[in-house]
Amino acid sequence: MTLAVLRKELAVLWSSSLPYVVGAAFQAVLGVLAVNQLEVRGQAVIQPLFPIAGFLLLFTLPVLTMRSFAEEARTGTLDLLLAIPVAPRPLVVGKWLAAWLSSLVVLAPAALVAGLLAMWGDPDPGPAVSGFLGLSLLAAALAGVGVLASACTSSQPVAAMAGVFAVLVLWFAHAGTATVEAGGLVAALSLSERLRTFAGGAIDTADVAYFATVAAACLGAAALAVDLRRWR
Amino acid sequence: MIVLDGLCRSFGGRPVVRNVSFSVGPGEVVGCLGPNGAGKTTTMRLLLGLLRPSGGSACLGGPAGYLPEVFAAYDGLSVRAYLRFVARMKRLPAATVERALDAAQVREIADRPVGRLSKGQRQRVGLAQAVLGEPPVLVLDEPTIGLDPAQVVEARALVRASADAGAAVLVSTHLLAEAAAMCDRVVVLVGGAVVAEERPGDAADLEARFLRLVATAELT
Amino acid sequence: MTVRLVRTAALLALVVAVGAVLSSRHQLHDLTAERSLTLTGHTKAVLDDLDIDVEVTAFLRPDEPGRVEASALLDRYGKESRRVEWKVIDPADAPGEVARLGVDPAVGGVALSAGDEVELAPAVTEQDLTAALARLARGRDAEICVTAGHGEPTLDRATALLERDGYRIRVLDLLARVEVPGTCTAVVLAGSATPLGDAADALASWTADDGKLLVLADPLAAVDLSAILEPYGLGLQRGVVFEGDPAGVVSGDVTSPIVRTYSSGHPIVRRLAPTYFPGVQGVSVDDSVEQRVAGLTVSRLADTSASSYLETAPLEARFDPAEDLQGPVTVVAAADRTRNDGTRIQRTRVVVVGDVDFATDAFLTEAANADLLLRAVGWLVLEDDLLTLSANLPADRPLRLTDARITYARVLTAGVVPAVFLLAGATVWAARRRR
Repeated sequence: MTLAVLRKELAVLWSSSLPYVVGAAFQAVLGVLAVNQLEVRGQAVIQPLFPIAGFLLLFTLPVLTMRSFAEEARTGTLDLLLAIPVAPRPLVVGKWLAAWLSSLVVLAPAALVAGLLAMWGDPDPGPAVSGFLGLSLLAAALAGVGVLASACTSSQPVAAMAGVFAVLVLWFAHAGTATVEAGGLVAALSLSERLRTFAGGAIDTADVAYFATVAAACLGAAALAVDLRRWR
Repeated sequence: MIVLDGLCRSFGGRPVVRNVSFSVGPGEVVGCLGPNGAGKTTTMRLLLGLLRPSGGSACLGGPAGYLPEVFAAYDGLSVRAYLRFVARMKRLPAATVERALDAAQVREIADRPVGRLSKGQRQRVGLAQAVLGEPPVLVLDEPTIGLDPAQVVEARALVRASADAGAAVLVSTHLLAEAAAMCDRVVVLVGGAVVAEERPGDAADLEARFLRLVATAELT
Repeated sequence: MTVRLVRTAALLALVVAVGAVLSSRHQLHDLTAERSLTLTGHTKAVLDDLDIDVEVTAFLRPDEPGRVEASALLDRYGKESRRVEWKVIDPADAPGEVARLGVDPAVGGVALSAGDEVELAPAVTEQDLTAALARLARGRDAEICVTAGHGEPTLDRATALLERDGYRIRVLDLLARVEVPGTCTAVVLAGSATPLGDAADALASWTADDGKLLVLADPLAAVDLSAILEPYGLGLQRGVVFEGDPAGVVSGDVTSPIVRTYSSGHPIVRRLAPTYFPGVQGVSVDDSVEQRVAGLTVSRLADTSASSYLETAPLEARFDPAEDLQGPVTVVAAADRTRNDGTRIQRTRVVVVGDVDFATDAFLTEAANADLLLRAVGWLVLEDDLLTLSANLPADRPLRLTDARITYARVLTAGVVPAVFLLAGATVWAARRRR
């Protein structure tokens, strides 16, 4: 059933103009900023690409997920599914998977930068592997946040704004603090801090667990939110 | 089989459904009749578990096919793809899709995107997804809305055929003629309460009784 | 439905709890070619041996470049050892801390404190942090006394390397004063070119009394060190090693052998990379001394190849089986004598290298020469498991950019790729309209 939801979501999403416009905008901005970084540094290192791409994903995923539940709640198609009744879990997981996979399609062309570096220099392949893995996991977590935001409202703009706000808070939680401490809760929750090790060229299992937990927790909360619709 | 027993629901302290009790047996078509705001749609949503009752209970004797008052599907999918999705959600085999396409007379638009359909065509697709798999219970909220006269006749025939096949059918309508033509019994809801439950008879007779019931209910 | 809601909420709480635990357990897989995100074996060894709680305070302004990298490096220390707590503070926000820890407010830096003890490091780099940690953990500075006054060569780089590793260096002029101060943790007898005279006796008696001695013997100097070395079964085999394997020399110089054969078990040479000696003599080992002297262990540490030989008449440069010694030739050896006199345990350690040039400024950075020196000193002062000091720094990877390439990259990434997305969207839109 989850697979059927996934297929339906992908078909509906990619038959609209939204992911194409989002993909074009994402790649255009990323391309400009990434090439600027390469020019400034003069080194065949891909690491600077990842924080930029991660930041852009903060806006991409809420937009891709805003319609996942909100639109269905607004049009009444969600009620049809709940009346069958379809349990919230396959709906939530299927929609999350669709958003995550779609974000990977949007992100994939960024690998061209790695190709350019390989043509014009001698880059270390390790950071490319860890960096793109980190971005994929970040996208999974952001998709979870977006699905949760969408499940809590029947308005797409509200879902998008709530999602963006939530992930911006998490991304910048660690920034600008005068004191940085070991084991600080802020550092532990910060999305940008959790991406940093991947971007640098390493995989920390704790960061993998963090992103997986954020995604799973958001999906659990989204399932709860969908179920609570019947509690009205 | 549909059983409602003392069903109650309030919104913001205002009772919308008050102690509604009636039943629909297999093979029966029962019409839920009432003016706008009588609580027909709310009663159906309570029955289907889309709202939590504040009192009483509702019971469905099996999986239900549901057509909401405003039917919407996914604009990007074709009719066939949409019905296949609903069949998958209902855990039905793919063959049921083809039968539903024929039953609701939407085979000729099966490959068209839902977003390119007219209002009447969409409503027929709504009927198709409701009867998908020949469910033992049908809950149809204003099933003929948006249909032209010929399609109305076909829709009524589909409802009747479903009942004849053993389904318990609950239909909500504000059209007296429709209730008279389609229903074995009518339950009249005014102000959220059942004020009458009887055979419809002919349309003129039903209209006179209905107006009397509404006037009486408003006075009390 | 209530049951389902409660079950979902309970599952959600469990996911968060498990996730919180897993998110705090770190296992790092460094994918960089240079393993630049991994602490070196030396640093890990220092952290493993840490038996005190250390607080590291780095004073960096919020806008200071490198603050993020500094936090990342400190984070790796904190994850490697639970005894290390760290924080990065804006010095302007904490003048009291700056003063308490003795940091120069104009320069900033890092303070490592354990109780009342404070060690300062100039920068948040792995070398500086680990050196400061090592000093803090030792509880006192180890003083390495390097001999002078007998024609010793300049060892500026070597002494700088030892200082960076946390040792204090003292020049021991045995010509001016024939005495080894009590503050010397170890003595480096570095290639004396002239006879030591009374200094040899002073060194011999100092070594016998719980001393730690590193001898770097110049093959071209005829200095008699037998009084110092014989009690430990060690000696010098006069001559110069000639290497017969062309692949085993540097720049075709047969008197500059590359040594690859090590005693696998000894801490000084365990997993040591090849070293290079620009002119080396043999070091003799008397295996029978272990039976005669209680508590004494002698070890051959590094041998030249079987194709080499010790030429006792270097000007002849022709193997004479009657006078020369067929290889492998031992060029590094060590002795360890442990005694318990009833009141305390005494431990004498001696390392002999048949060359001094490998540690001079010209050759110290060749091959693993620096590692050999550090390990020998580390072993002498009882830091057995030292590995390489140098941090794993990222390699330089220049990007061959031209104006044309920059334009190409911009057009491709910010033009072509977005256009492909838009074209795909237009295609899908058109196809839908046709249906």
